[in-house]
Amino acid sequence: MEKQSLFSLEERVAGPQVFLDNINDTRIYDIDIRISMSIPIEKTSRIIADKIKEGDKVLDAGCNTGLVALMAAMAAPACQITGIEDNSNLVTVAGENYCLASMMYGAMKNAGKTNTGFANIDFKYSNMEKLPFPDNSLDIVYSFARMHRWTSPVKVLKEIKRVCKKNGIIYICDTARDAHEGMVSFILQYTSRGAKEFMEELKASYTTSEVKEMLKESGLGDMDICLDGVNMVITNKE
Amino acid sequence: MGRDTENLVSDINYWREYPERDVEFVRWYPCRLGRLSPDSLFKKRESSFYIHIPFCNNICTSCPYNKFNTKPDIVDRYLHALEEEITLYAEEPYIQQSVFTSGYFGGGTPASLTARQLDRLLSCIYSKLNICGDASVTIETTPTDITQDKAVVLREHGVNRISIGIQSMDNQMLSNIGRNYNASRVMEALELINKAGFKHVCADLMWGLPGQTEEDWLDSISRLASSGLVDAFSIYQYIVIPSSPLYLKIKSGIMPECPGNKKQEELYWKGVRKFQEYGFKALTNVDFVNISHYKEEDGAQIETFSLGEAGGDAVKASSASIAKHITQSWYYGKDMLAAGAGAYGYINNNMYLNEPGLDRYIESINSRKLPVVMGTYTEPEERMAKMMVMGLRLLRVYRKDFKDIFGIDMMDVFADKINMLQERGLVVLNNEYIQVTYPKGWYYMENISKTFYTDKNKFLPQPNAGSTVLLDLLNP
Repeated sequence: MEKQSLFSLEERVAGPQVFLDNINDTRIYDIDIRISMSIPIEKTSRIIADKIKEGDKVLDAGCNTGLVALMAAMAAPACQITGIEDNSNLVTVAGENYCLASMMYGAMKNAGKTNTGFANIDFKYSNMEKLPFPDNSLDIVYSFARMHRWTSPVKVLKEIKRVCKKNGIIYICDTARDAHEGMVSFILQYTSRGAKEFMEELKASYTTSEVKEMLKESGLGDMDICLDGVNMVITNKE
Repeated sequence: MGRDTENLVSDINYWREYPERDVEFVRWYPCRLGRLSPDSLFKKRESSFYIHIPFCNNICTSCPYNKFNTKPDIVDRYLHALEEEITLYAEEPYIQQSVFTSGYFGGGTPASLTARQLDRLLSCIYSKLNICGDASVTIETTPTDITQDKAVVLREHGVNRISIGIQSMDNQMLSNIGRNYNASRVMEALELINKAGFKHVCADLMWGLPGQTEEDWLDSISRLASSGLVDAFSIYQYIVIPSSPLYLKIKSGIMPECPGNKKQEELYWKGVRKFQEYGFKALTNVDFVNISHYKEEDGAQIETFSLGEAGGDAVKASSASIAKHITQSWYYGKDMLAAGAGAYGYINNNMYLNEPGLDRYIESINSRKLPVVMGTYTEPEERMAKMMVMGLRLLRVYRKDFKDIFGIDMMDVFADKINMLQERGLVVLNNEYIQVTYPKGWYYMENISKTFYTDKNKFLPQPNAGSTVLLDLLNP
């Protein structure tokens, strides 16, 4: 007898992210994910920082509240990072996080305790389907936990292909609806807050096979996809 | 064709073998009778109990259990509800048929209750449940929460074992993990526990603490093992919870880092050998007991067995009353009545979890409903798996014990899994038992346990007793 699945994740169901309508709810969301998503946020920022070379131009396509970009900016200061979002509340909160991060960094710098630098980072509002960059201009384009919220993912992927240099790095990490249900159960039970929100995002996410199709359609068919816990990681360089 | 048989009366030979036709009308079975007393008709079911007191005066940084800070008002309301819950259980005929041969007070810190509260709670429990006179009853405490008057109250009611959360005997380590006592307070606590007449004291120690060295880990073990005041140890690996205050301190360099994985392994094995050095024998791969100074009350000696050349000895869990509670639950799969918010139990083949939230727990009791919210019924397949998954943690499962319970030999059910584990050198099997090998099997203890998960349970994480979030998110 086939094992009955624990969660109903067969179909993609993308409801609205209600907390993005009100700036204070967005701020609470940001505070929650600092804890509930601290591990994947840290991991991703470290992976991105490792890829950054001096002088690189980096795009965070769907920067959310800016946490990954800010951590990368501190770890890899000799670059230029742009974080874009198509929701103005997220951009505002990312800006607030930037303010806090640079205050902290500034305090250390002014006391002569550090000279390591902070990347040249900007957060701006943008339509994801019309990225504000010329063709072949960016060294690294990455995205964390937001691909499933792009209104037209194939269009955005095509844009990413357009703006990224021919030998540039593309790195996309997002939740996978076909993640193993044991992993899903683990996250739900052990995340201190936001279990329901996590489930909603998971339901709104794509499966690895759906993403394979989207990549093919956007001319990125030779990119690799692999499952990592509850996430999928899409890369063009190994 | 057999002999043409006539009816019974013409021939006294009532039993006939084929091809003769037997003519004794079978209307009854079995036939082998003897003396029987009416007491046998309604034999009591052996059970254990677990009571959860989810309050702490000083919450530990790495604790995964259901607990809240103590606040006088909420504690009293909780205890009142707890007594009601026990009363509800005691009203069930099923529970009236149970006799409790072991019990455990866990939490949180059960001993954070006042002596008066403990007295009242214990009176309620001991009067409502059939707890047998020589039951093994344990209570958890910290070095600071236990006092002389509490110890007296506990002994008076029949609590005969203390589990004390020491974690380390190094004052710097204790400070690093936010404990509010030092090594000398630990010794004071152990002295007063001893003076109050407790013969069984289990000390919890942790390895992998931030900044811990081999020296302070082994010293902690030595000091306690040689004190004569501790006859059992339970050791745990310290886990830093992501984004906890301690985690942030470690990340920003204020607090030293925990030893790396390789070092942690070293610490574990050196700890194990240190216990062996002091004559402690293994109950599990993380529990060690000293049985040298006592034999079982009814005169039966505790049985031990060798773990192999360098392994020292282990204790046969089912022969030691010191391990009664853990053996009843993990090995024999007997009932465990669980009371309290976030408590886990097992009754009538159902594994169950009580509502972890204090308000909802109290609300449920106020509407005279047991606060059971989550769990699962265990079919025979699951029960057999459970005996292997949990029983092997006690290092040996006897084939006779498995067969006595399930009526079938373990190899008739698990041959493939057991053979695979044998091939990998993780267990050994003979006519009598299956045993976890030392040291390789010990190292892979969790893998061994999980090998026996049924397909339905494979890849699922250990349930989190503090969270019922799954209930809202599971497929209906």
